[in-house]
Amino acid sequence: MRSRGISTGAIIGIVVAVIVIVAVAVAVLYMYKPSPKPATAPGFVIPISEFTPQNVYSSSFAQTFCSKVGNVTITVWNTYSPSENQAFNASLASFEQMYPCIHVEVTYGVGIATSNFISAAKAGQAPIVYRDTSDDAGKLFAAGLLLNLSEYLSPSVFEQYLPTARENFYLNTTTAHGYYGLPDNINYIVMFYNKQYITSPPNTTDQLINMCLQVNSTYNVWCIAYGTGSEWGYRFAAWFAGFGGQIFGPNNMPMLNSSAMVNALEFWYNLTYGLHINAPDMNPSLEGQLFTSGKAAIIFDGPWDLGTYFKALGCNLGAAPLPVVSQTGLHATPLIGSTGWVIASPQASGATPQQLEAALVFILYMTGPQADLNLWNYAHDIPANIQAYNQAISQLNAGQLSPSCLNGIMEGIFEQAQYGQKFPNIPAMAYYWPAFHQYATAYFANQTTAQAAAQGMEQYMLQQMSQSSG
Amino acid sequence: MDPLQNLNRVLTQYLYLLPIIAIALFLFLYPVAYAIYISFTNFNLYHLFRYAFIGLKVYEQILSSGTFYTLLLNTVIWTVGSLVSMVVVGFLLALVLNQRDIRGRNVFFTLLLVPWAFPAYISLVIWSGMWNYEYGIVNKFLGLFGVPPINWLTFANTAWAALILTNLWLSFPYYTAVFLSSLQSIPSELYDIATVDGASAWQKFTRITLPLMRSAIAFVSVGGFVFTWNNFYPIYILTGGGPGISTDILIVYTYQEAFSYGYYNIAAAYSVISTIILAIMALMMLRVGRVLEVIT
Amino acid sequence: MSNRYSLRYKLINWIRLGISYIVLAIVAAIAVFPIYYIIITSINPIPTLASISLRTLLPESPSLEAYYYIVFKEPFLLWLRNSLILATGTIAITVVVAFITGAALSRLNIAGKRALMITIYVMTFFPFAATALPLYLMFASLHLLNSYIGLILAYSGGTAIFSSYLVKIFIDRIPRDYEEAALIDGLTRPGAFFRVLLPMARPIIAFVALMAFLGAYTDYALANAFITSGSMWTLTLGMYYLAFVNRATLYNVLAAFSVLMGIPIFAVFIAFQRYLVQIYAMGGVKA
Repeated sequence: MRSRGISTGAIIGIVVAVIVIVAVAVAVLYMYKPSPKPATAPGFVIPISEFTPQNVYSSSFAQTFCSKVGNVTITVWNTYSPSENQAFNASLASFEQMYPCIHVEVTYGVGIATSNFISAAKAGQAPIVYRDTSDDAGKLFAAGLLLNLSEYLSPSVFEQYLPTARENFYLNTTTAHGYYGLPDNINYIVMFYNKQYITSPPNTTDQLINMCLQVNSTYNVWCIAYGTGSEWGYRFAAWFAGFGGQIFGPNNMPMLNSSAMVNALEFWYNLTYGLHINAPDMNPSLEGQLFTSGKAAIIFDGPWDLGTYFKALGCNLGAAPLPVVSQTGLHATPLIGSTGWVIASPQASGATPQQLEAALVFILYMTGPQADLNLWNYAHDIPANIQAYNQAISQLNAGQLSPSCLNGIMEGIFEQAQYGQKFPNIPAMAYYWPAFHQYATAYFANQTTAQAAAQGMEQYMLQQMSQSSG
Repeated sequence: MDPLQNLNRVLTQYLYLLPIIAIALFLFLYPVAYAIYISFTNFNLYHLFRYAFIGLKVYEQILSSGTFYTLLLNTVIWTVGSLVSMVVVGFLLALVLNQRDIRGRNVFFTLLLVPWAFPAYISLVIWSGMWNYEYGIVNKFLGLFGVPPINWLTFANTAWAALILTNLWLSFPYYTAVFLSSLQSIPSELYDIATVDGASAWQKFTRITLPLMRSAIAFVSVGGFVFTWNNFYPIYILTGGGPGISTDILIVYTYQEAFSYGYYNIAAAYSVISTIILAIMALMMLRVGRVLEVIT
Repeated sequence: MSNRYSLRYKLINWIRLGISYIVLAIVAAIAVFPIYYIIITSINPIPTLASISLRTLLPESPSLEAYYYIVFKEPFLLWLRNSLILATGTIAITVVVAFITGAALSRLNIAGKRALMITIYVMTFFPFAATALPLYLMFASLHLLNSYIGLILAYSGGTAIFSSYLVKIFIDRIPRDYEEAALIDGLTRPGAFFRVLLPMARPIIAFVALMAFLGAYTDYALANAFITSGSMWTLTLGMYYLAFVNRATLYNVLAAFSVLMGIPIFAVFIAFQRYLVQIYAMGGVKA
């Protein structure tokens, strides 16, 4: 048999292989028939005009809702931190009491901006309700994975939120335009400092440098713990703006290749490797450790970590807006973003119209004045709901926070809100992070000049933008 | 034999292979086929439900960008650098341990096994703290010898050194064990005869030891090459591919493309290219080392 | 004359041995050091990485508070339970598949088996990053995502193939006489496999079980892609979160976590090292 060239063994092997390949092709084709088109008409039983935050909190509306809609179950992916979850659970309890017909299946501990949402959407099993950051959700909205809330809620609903917060959840591009989420907080970084080393916060970068040189030599601790060498650009955007730059210019084209970027990069390189007032080789975890153990005087972080820092430093903790860049006279303006609740499009979640109605009620409730105030009370998240926000401010002004030094800290945090920049939520923003990370890390590793880095960043973004439109 | 009986026998035999074929089918062939398919489309986050066939555009894009060649070079540096160091160190240690008059060989061997015994994922988390510039224990030790602190993971050259050294620490026990076992299976009479014939130590090494070890070296080299090429964790945990993409290798980049940016089609195309290159190199190495005869 | 020769010979031997012992000692120290480092860090009061210095390598007021914290204040036990469930499931499937396949490949003269095994082996070269999504979609359509089964299957697939091959070459070295005798005595072929071969293949089965356990226990990437709910997190996901994402983790707590997660496996390896050496040296020796 062998002398014939092909042995029986090989023939059988080939036959088996062919059968296997055919079987797999059939399986692949079977699993990928195109998904059915979603129903175009909403099929709602409650008129759209009745979905308002006031109604959602009224028991008469709740009763009408339950009698008309009946029993319905919604799936929710919860991305809150433990302290925020205390607030969420309290709000959830009162929600379930008011709406006994809506059964909420909560999945706790989901990572924020998780890629699992996209995989689940592709499988048609995305959760009906999801809490996400405004920029990541913007990406999802542009990809058609989220419900366009402008089509389901009247415009007056959105007026109930702070302008910055609601604009964060508004997108206007060729493929998608409308509101795609309801915000429950606004967030941005501030300058936290340790009062043991810094008695009054610096107003300008020159003051910052002088203070830092003193702190370094007097106390032998790092003045600043800021991992510029491993940054992805979220915090750095503030300094970029402080030196006069902006991420996107007219027509939503990236404008990273500017002298502002060069100056900002060189400024931080100088502080780290020239003046040695900023600790090198940091990552967020290590920065936090240094700050909480008193080995660093200043950290740039947001109020979401306030609990950790306050527990460690107590009333020695101070918060202040980022300083003004002395060279330009401009404030370093951090990105003011929002986190909020979104609803997956029916194609992604397979939701029925009744489930969508329940979802709308849920997110209106969770971003309403009472629930938002809960978040403030338990976790000190800055509320996005105007009513809750005003209440928080009046609490602060009356010095009602306890312990009393917390009032001063929160005032510092709120002050930063006056000097912030809008968080771009167009899909192209997703390319800013890898573009910045790749070239900034290369610059800090002495592999390229600041000019080349700025140029490289912009080219990277342009390239990705043209790729994705194809 | 009667053809029907033959067929019956073959079918029964393939019944035993059914589990592995089912696994290969559903858990390997189907995902790979799917990935190959979408590498020819524009399937990504923005074309999640409706996507179109675009032919070789993705491949053209990849092969014409500088990124691919950087990644390929990095992957080769990583794989060859790790493999050469592991094989050399493993072999030398095996030679040292194999000496007849070493006392406490078992104790030393057990101690040497420690890096391999402790789960690699955890070791990597530990090492990432040890390489830190300011607070890492490595720099503190070097400080004892008067060496100024090195910013290991922030700069490309030192990052490669740190990566390869860490990988060496993680895997050298395996190579030592294989080579030691192989050395011990060489009958000592061969050496005795050679000594009587007046051979020097070097001649004994090159004429007896090396040739008899060839299959062991080839076998672990091929296995190690394939494993290291696709070894995701050390680079992901220690440097994340940075600075820039100077320590990024194909598999880490592919993971980022898929999970961070949602570019499933690009990730799939990279995977296809990487697998083809790896398969060719593995096949070449198998041929050269004539390992196939050993395993089948 | 013979005196001088033997003296020189003794001197060379002495130097050779001396260098050998020094080399072995240094290498052993380097090999063991990180484990010692993490153990000592877990019992010393070291809140941050910045507290590490050469002095902290010696015990200074050791305490177990880091262990207390990680076990009771973080969901360590939950993560451990999830990891163990996944690992046990993977072991079960992998061992069964690997044994059946390995025995069949070794003992049965199956046509085309070499081509089949090589093709399957080459398929495992494909990076998991691209296969994760289709696997996810497949499990989603089978509604296996919210249970452990999806991940268990994915892990089993990964280890079963290489394990089958290992079982095959191990069984190759067991003489066929025992089964031949059993077959003559009237046992069926599968009976021969399970009653005769299986007990003799215990070392390799144990090794395969260990590899399967490790594959499931130390995986981060696939777990990250498949697991969404915090209540299903494994130890690796928990460790990544505590080490790189959460800013409040104390370094000695992370060290305690590492020790608790790693020492059991480490102990198993060391206890069975004789077996292990036999086995992973198998492939390297000429038959």
